[in-house]
Amino acid sequence: MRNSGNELWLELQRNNLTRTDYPENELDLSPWYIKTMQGFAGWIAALFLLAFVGTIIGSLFIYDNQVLLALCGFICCTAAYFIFRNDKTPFLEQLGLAISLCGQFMVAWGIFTVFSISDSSAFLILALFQGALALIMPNFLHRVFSSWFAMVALFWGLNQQGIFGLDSALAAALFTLIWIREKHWYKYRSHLLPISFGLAISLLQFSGHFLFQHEFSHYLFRAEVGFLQQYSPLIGSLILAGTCLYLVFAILSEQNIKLASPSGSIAVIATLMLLGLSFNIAGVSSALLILLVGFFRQRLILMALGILALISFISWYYYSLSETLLVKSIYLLSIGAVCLTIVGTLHYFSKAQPTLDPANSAPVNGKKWISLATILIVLAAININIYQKESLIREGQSVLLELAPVDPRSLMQGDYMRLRYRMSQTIQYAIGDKESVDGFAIVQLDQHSVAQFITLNPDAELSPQQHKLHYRIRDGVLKFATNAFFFQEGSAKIYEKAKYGEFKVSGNGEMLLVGLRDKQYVLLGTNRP
Amino acid sequence: MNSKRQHILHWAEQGYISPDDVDTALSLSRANPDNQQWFQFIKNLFLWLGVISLAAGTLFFFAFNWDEMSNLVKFALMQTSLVVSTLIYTKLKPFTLPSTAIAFLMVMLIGALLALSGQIYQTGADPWQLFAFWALFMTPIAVTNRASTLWLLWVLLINLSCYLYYYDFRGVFGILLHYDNLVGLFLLFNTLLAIAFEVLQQGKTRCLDNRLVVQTCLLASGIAATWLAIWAIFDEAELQWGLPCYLVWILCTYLYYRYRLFDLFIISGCVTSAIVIASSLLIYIFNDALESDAFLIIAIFIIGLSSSAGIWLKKLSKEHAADQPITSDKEHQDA
Repeated sequence: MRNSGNELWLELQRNNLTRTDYPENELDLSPWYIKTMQGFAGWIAALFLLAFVGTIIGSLFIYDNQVLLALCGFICCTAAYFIFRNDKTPFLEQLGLAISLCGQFMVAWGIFTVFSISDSSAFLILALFQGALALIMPNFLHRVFSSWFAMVALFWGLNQQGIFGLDSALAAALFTLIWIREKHWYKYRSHLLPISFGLAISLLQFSGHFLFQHEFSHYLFRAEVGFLQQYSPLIGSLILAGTCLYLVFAILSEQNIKLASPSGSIAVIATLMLLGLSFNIAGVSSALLILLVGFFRQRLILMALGILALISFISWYYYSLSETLLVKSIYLLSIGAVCLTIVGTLHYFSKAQPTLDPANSAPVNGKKWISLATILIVLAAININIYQKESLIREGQSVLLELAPVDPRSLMQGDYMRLRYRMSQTIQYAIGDKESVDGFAIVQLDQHSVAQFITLNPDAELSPQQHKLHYRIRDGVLKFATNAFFFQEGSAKIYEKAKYGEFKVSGNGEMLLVGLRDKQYVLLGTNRP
Repeated sequence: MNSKRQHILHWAEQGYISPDDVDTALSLSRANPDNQQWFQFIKNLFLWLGVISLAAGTLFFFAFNWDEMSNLVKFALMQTSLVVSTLIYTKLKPFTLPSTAIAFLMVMLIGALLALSGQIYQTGADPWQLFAFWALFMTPIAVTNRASTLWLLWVLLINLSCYLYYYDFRGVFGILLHYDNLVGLFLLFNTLLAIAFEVLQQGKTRCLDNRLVVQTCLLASGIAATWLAIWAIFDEAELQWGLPCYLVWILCTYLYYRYRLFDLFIISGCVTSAIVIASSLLIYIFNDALESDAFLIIAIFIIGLSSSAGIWLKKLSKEHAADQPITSDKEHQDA
């Protein structure tokens, strides 16, 4: 790194752009994980300092002394400020960080005792306090932490007011603004850079699980619904969309591309299309913002944060309850289609770097044969499996197993129902202490094909009404085929009356769950529509 | 990626460059990405965004378990999309980003197909089997593509499948598989994976383009080792092998990546773990007298250790950078 800095300096010197000799005050280019290690250690040390304060002046933490406690915390932060300002030795910087973090714990503790934890003003005061620390404290790690905490506190404060989606949009807008104006605000770099990293971390956190909390607002939020409560998600989405457009304009102007030129208009149209598609899933836009800014300003760490935010958003999105999986899949599939169409178009217009195999017409190369063969094996295996299962469903013997009462909470899981069979207990009792993972149970069928347990002996002669069933014991629970019945999302109500599980059984005991029946043996639903 | 922009703006902030010259300096040193680089980046961005959205969209679609669509239609749709993506894959130049992205899509579709078959025919195959088969089927594709994206997914699937296997069978082998044994297995398993990848990477056949997979495996096993050691310190009767196991692991890892193959990320990880363990030992020693003075001593101890570790790591980082021949620009042209 030092080399590249040196070389760059010489190059600038040759062009008379420098004022002095090679500066002694070097840029700190130490990798992120060293800072992470120090931040992590600072946190642990702060906890021990807190324990120290707690044991020497325990009376501070008593209920009536909350103002004094917050005041002591404030004094700690002030002390840390003077340590940071006067000395740049690593030990004292680390000490200052730990003292300040300890002080912040005390301030937060005090504030939450004065107000109650359910009071949004406590969070808002804390957010203000942290925001001020982020601006004042002359220490990189401290500014990162404080701006991150400020955003999280603001988030919870607004959340308790029933205002959702606004905080993350503000964080994204501020983050983008700082990086777009990076060159113009060079005098405040040491203030703004760490703050922007803190904002990026908070965005990563929000994209994973916070962004769409407004769907819970109907359950949690009881107070009167005002303008902000009603429109904050929309305003948030609009702020995000505006920020994305602003970033695209900034990139175009720095690359000297006019809006009216073909590339300029394509960029704006593509952005608008993507914004339209992702309007309801704002997490995608904020992840993309971090990624774009990362490339724009050549920061690998931001790009990595953007990718992480994208992945955590998608895994969170799967579980969000705002829309059905069908609607979500349509959103995603259309975004995918638009993106790949754009890639295709870009490829078509640039013949510069061919990604298609030059030996296109030539036979597929060796490496690709391996992949091709793998896919063929997968397809063959799947289709043989389909054939076997379909034959079993057609030709197998129907067997009904009585269900044990189902835990009603499991029904709430949405897309599948957990099954337990009455017979399981009898069989497990018969197995006793023997360590067994797999085995066969012999059952007798009545006129409705309902099975009754007879014996465990696999060699017993079977009468025409007797069948053998393959069971498995997993995690201490006995299972026939499966203990989960899958159904379309949202149709849980129908299956509440289920009394029997219907299986198809082959001669060798292989079982397949095909449907559920009620107590009059009426079919409630199958896996085969 | 280069750090020229950071340098120039830093010098401007410090007053070594006049504010009026910043623009000239930035364009002269080509600190900003040029149009060609932007074009490439946008293309790759949309490519991956498209592939990830398509893969996730397909998974979501089948997870919805739509009643209106018959099973055979679902299978036909799924298999067709797999065949189409395979056909596209065979047309692409190997070891390029598009080829890797489509291979990733293929692998995701294989997983979706396996999950779909498990969902439609409820034979109740154990959950670990799904992930094991998925990992098995993707292995040839990962091997022939040299891409860390695919290998990371592979490592994740293998670990998941092992965890689920343990979860199903923990009752059966009784005492053998306690929770701490699981962490031990996790440690052993990921260390073996890391060694395997390291051997492959240094062998003649290049199977990977960067060190991300080795670092991930070592990070996972490092967390497991640290966990075991903390456990052993505070509960020594239960877990006698925890500390020796940790010591051997951390020493070997540290020595190898310090002297044989320099990797600052892994060294930093070792240092962080060592700080945690040293503080735990100190807490254990103070166990009977854990009062105010002890807390202060521990806090100062941690601050001292971490700040000196920071100085040392930064020094290592600079030394290593100075030893390295300047290849960054050349690599850029290759990429």
